[in-house]
Amino acid sequence: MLTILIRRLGAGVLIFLIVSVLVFSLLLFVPGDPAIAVAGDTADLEYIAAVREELGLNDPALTQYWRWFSRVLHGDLGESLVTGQDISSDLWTRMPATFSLMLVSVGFALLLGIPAGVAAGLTPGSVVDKVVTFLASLGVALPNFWLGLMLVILFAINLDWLPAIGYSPFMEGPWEWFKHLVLPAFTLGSAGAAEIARQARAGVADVHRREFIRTAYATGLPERRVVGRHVMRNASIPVVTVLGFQIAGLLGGSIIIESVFGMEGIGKYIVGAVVQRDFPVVQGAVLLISVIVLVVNLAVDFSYTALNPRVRSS
Amino acid sequence: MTAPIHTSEDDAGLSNGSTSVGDIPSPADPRSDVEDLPSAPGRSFVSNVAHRFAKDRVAMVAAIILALLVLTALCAPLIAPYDPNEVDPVNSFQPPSAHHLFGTDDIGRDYLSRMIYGARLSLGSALIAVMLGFAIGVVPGLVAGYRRGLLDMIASRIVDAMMCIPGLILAITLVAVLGPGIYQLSVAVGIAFAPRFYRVARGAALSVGAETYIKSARAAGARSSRILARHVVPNALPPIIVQGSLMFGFGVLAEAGLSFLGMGAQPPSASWGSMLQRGTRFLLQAQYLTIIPGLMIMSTILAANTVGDGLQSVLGVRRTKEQPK
Repeated sequence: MLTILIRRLGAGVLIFLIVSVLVFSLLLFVPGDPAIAVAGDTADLEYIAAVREELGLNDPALTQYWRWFSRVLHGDLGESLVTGQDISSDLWTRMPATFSLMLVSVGFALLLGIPAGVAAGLTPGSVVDKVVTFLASLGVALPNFWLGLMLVILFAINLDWLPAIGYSPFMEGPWEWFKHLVLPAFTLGSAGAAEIARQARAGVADVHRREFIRTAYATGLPERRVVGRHVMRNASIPVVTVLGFQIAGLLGGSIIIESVFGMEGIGKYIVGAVVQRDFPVVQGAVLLISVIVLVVNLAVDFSYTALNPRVRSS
Repeated sequence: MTAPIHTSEDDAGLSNGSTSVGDIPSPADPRSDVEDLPSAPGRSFVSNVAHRFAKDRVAMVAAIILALLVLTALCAPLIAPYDPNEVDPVNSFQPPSAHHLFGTDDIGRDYLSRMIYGARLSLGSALIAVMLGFAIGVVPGLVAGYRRGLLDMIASRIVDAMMCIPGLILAITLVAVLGPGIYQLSVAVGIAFAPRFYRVARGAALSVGAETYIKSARAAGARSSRILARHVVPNALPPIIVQGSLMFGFGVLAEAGLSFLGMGAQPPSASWGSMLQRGTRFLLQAQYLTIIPGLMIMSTILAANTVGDGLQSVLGVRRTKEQPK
């Protein structure tokens, strides 16, 4: 078991190295002179030369990479070309908004997706099943930013129940924090809920017709116990996989949702940096996001091992 | 007729192969009874598939809707009632009426005509993205899955690394490099799609490569390139096609999302996503400007996904675990 964990960790480190090379080499693919792209077409030559020096573009690529990466390992992602601010501390201040959004979105996705999926999976072909399946297909197809706008029209503009934009830190009151997160998190979590419901439905329907479940019923166990203990545990593995993907999907979706709802999180930070072609910021933020995804993937891997003894022995 | 092929599920985790969820068989699709229909003798594979697909009514309706949308996009100049870029400030913010079925926008342009022309950009962008992702991802995936060894290991680790960057973020990052615009956006989304195609192709080639007929072809002394072209490619194609049709829906979604952020079509031309973005400025006075493009995007994706699901059961492909987002 320990060797499996160590091997996974090793693979994770290797992948992190490759990601860092990919993220770094972004600058090398900018068509034309990156210094001009950054400084703007109208910049004078002196300024362009200064930018080039600033970016270290005069050195060989490998030297540039190494200089950047060794600073990254010390937590130094450099400075924004636009604001001159330290990128690491910029990311640090934006993390609570994004993490709160992730947390509440995953909460919504699980709270909506699992009961719906389990109910549908236990009664395949029923009305409940059909409604859940339909809503799930709809949820996957819905552009979530559009759903967000519709919710804003309804709940913020017409009904005036919830704030339309902004983020309120948790420390300034959990209720305000939650109120500001309801609409964006529901918006972001809806596709996740749909996907989780699909997987849970499929998993439960499959496990529920297995022989060991019939045996469990035959021994006189109450349904609550059979479903809770045997069906759910066996059906949970694909759901955990999907949840792992969902985190990556949610982080991707956050760039749009944070922009729609005016939340100063990492996603909105990336969008702003892309618009201004602030490459050090883009690189730093993307690297951070990929590390989060890597860690989540590792956690998913480990939880398989805990959930499924068959993986442990292989 | 090919045997049912399942796509790579062992790649679901971080390190491939070791965390197989494959020991839990994928549940049968509710419509999988279609799969068991006997194939009529004397018909080609393609016409068999088409025949069975036609029997799946839901998928058929979705396919017709999709075809009509494509036709609309192709024939935009013939169908559009007005010039999509003709400004008419006097008639701005006209709600939907007989004159303007979808109303007019903030500077009086006919919204229906703009939607019809927008279909060209939205569908075209998704198509470019899928074709590019296919072109970049499939061949390396097939070769890696068939040959395995060092080449596979290197390519798969690079793909693992790319998959650590969420699709939309990878795409927007590439837009930062390429610059904004509908073509740049399509290319960026296509590159973000490539690792997904790679994984499906690799998984398909892996499972085909383990079949006895491949082993016997190899034993008979056939060259690798010949086995790949004659046996692996045709048998690995179904899951890749299914992936492609599902990716089309995500291509429409990605175009809409990134255009919504202003990375796509630049004015005056507009895709559904950029129309949606412009519409949000008038959320208080003209909500139809956001509702209409949103509904169109949603129906298109729903249709594409339904066609994909239909193809999946007709081609006998097990549900893939790849999440394109």
